[in-house]
Order: sequence, then structure tokens, then C-alpha cells
Amino acid sequence: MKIENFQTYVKDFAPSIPADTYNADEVLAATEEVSIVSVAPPQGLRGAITRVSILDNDTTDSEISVLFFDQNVSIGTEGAAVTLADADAERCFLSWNSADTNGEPLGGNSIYKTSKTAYIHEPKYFHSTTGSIWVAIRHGTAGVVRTEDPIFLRIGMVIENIALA
Amino acid sequence: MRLDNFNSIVTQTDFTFTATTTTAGQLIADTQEVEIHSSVPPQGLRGTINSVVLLDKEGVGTRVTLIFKTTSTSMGTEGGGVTITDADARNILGYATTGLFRPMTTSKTLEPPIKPIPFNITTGSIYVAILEAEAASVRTVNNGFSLRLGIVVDNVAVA
Repeated sequence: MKIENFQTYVKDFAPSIPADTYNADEVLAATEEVSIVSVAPPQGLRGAITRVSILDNDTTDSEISVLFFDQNVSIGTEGAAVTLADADAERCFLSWNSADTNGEPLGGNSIYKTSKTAYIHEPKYFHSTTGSIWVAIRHGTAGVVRTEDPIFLRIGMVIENIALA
Repeated sequence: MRLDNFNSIVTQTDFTFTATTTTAGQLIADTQEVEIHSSVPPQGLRGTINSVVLLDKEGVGTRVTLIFKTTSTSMGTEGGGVTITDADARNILGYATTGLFRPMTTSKTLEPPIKPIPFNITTGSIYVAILEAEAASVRTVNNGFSLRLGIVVDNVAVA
């Protein structure tokens, strides 16, 4: 017997981040789509993110917040102040801060000499009307020089109502 | 073969409450309904609450405690201490206290670490109250919380 739904899916995602000097409460990565399935079922795609690995190749120790949304909502453009309406903030189903006491702080489980890693362990459920979720990153520390595309996310999830190949 | 039960439901509920100043242990928002499923099988609705995201739209950001119950019974006066009878205390499914807030400009999210909270209810709803868990905080917006729950239901099919 084979259960065709409730399948594991892993998505690697490197958000586009311009090399620049970033200040507190600025957008580090504007909202980007993370496509999970190309065609969602009519009732939308349901599932849960079960784990996220966060790798920061910069050695800045600067604060970041990674935000996951079930709709495409803007938090602004890279290098500009974060702007997020309350109604759009309600679309956030998972947020993680690098100094977070609920998850692991960035660098807490570093396996490299220069990069920092952290993990989000808690399942967070989403119901997307399309086959995608969206990710954005806020920068939290003033006057930090960032290289291009320094952050890498590995997103593990369980998809419930669609059979994956 | 597709598995039609053990599906997840995401609920989103805006809380209304009396704008007030609260101190630790006082009631911010009295018990409010969170509908999980509109139709309930004869044997009741079973499942677990597996994830919680609370959006503090006013951005106060103090830690709060969420109390999950099976009944809508009041837990006291908003802005005052909790009052609950021994009998009603048996209707509490569980608690979750948030950690530090996560900033998002004016809003802040509060995501308590949570172990799954099981329920077996005769209606399609659970009820939630919010308590202040930190020092004194002033809330001026009477609909400043939006609660998102990730719930797995065992015995109803979700489209």
C-alpha cells in the first residue's frame, strides 16, 4: 500500500541579496516566491514546514529575521526600510529571528569556520491558495556590510493533499 | 491510495478586547471562539493543536499566555485578574506562553514553543483567552491580536 499524500519535500532556496551596507529594520531580501508544486489542487496546497536550516556565509553576526508568508506580500525593497501592513503581516505563518530564544541562535551549531548556521525545528502549518510560499528577510543591525547572496535556506516540509512524483 | 484523515487546518482569528493596561497574570482578551471545522461528525471532532502564531498588530510585544478551552465560559473581566471555577478549569485543554517577540516593523509576532495539545470536542470550535505574562503593558487598540493556529484533525476529511 502506498500513501500518495503526506509526502516529504525539501526545497533549497537562496534569496537574492545585493551586496551593500544594511541598517536596522531594512529589507535584506525582498519577498520571493518559493514554488513547491507547479499546479496546486483547486482547494489550495496544505502542509507544514517541519524544519529550516539557515546558513549565513557572512561573518558579521548581524541580526536577521526570516519571514515566511502564504501569500505574495511585499515588505519593501532591498536596502530600504521594511514596510508591512497589518493585513499583510497576518499572512506570515512563520518568523524566525537570529537571536531567537525559541529556535536556535545563528552560529549556535556552526559546522564551518566562517559561516553561521541555525535551525528552526517547530512545525508550522500553511494553506496556500497557489502551489507556492513566499520568503523575505529583514536586517536588524545597523551599518553592516553584506556580500551578495550570503544566505541559504533548506526548507523541509510535509505536503498533505497532493501526490508528489 | 490517499489518506483522507489526519489533515491540517489553518485557522486565523482576530481578537477583540477592551483596550486597557494589564499586569502579569491579568486578562487581556476574554474567551473567544476559534472555529476549526463547520461540520462535526457524530462522535465529535478530534485532533491536536500543533502550531501557534500570534500577531501583535499594535506592536506592544510583551509575552502573553494563551489558554485553550473547550467551552466559552468567561475567564473574568478584561484588564482584571483571572476568575475561573474549579469545574470550568477542567475545560482547559492547555496553555502556551510566548517567548520574545519577533519584529516586523509596527507589528510583532509572538510564537510560543508548543507541544501538541490534543482535543476531543463535541462542537467544531475551541475557545481561547489571552493573559498578560510580563510586566505592565498598555494596549490601546481593541482588535490588536490575530491568532493563527495549525491544527491536525483526525476524523474529518478536509477538501
